[in-house]
Amino acid sequence: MSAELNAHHWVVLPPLPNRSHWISRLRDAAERANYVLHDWDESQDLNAGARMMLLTISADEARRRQPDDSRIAFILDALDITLPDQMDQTERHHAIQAASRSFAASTTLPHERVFGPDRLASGAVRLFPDFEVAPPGASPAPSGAMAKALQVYTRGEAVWSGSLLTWNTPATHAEGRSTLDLTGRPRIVVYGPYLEMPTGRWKAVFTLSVDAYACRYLFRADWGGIEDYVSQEFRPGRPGVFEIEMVYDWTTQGACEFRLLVMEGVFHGEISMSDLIVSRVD
Amino acid sequence: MTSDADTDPGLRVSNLGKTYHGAHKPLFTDLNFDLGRSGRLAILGRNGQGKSTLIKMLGGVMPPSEGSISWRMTSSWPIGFGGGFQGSLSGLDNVRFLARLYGREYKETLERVDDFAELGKALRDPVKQYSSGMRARLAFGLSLAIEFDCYLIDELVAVGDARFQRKCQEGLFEERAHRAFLMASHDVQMIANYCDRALIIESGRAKIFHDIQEAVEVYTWLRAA
Repeated sequence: MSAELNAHHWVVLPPLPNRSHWISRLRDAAERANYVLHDWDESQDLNAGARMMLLTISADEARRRQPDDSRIAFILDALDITLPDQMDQTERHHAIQAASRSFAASTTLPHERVFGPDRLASGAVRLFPDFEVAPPGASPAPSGAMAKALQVYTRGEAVWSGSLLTWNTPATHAEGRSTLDLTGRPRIVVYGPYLEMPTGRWKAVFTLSVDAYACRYLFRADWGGIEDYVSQEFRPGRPGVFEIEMVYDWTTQGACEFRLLVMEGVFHGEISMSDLIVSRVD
Repeated sequence: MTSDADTDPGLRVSNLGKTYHGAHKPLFTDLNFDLGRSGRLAILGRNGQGKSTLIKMLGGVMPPSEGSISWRMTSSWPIGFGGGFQGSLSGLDNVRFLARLYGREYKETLERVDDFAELGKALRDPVKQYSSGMRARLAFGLSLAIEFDCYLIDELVAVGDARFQRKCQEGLFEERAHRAFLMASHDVQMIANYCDRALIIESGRAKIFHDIQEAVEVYTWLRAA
């Protein structure tokens, strides 16, 4: 079985918004090139003797079955994750983590095996020497907050909007800042977004604006994985805008969590937090 | 979910503020809240922030500097507050006076006060000879005997010994569980047990907390600061 699989080509197609269009284009291209496009995630029963182009959403699965990276093509078009509105927070976090896992996995492949928005913008691309496919259309420019956040996988740097995070206190998001009334018990003010981070050192930078009341309280910012992370405690002491920078080293790919906590009960005060700027530092 | 405070408030406080004569800044300003007919509101704040002043204003003992207090239910005088009695009159005469004032039958009122306050023969003495604890017991007994829709409580801990306090708590919180009350106290355990919302007054600002546990936590941090 594994020897047979080694002979096949694999196309990794994450859950993109235009995934169905891509599948249609890939099927047409496969027919022209005398391949049979087969969705490996739906069925693992293969036609013996056929030239198979195996389709999966998981780069990990493709690499597990096909050790030769030159036989794997990763299509990374129209970065985005669209989630149903009805999800509760936990479901949402799990869905974001699962969906982003395949994006993160793209960074483990050789650069030439990843077909990102820049390479796809110029029209038909040759995924393999005998296999060329035309993208379903111009890659939409990332516009939504999630799409911009996912640029960490293609650019090594991205802006993570406050709207992607989960706020324990209602916040208004405008012009790159999230503003809220800090009044309440000691708590995690905001956390998330559980995007899967590729291995490496990643830096998160944000600014926190505190008013004359909120500046008296002790805060803590965490950045890193869910279980293991780096922390900074700070008490601003005066009103103003403060920049916080943290670096965490992901030794293995894993979900990331940013947290801002207020460590004391707050009677009165307002804070405003900027979007996070996440970038690779190695 | 709407509470009875939303639909039929027994008390409406609007833009209330208090500034003492000669003070450089107000004790508090712009205080707004409603209290339902079975609402239980805690009033929390460090010493000197205005809890007792607010209770006195709600009880009509002290006028507000600004804003309005609109009662749509009967309210007690501030329990724990020693004022309001005619000192040269005996406890009995004060009971008689207040029974007449509130339209209650004297004999029945006296029986209930005597049974609750446990002052015995001291009721025949002038109230000016009472200790502060005795005055508080008389005030508490009278407020329960006359029966109000809403009780104003300023530090229940000031009323008598531990046994009498338990009696007060039973009389107030258990036997009159459906009544409204506003309670100023430092006793966060009692606040957490009996109140469903809290008003915290701090540095001239007052805020309503709809989560009583959160209010207690915030107040605990304020006290520790």
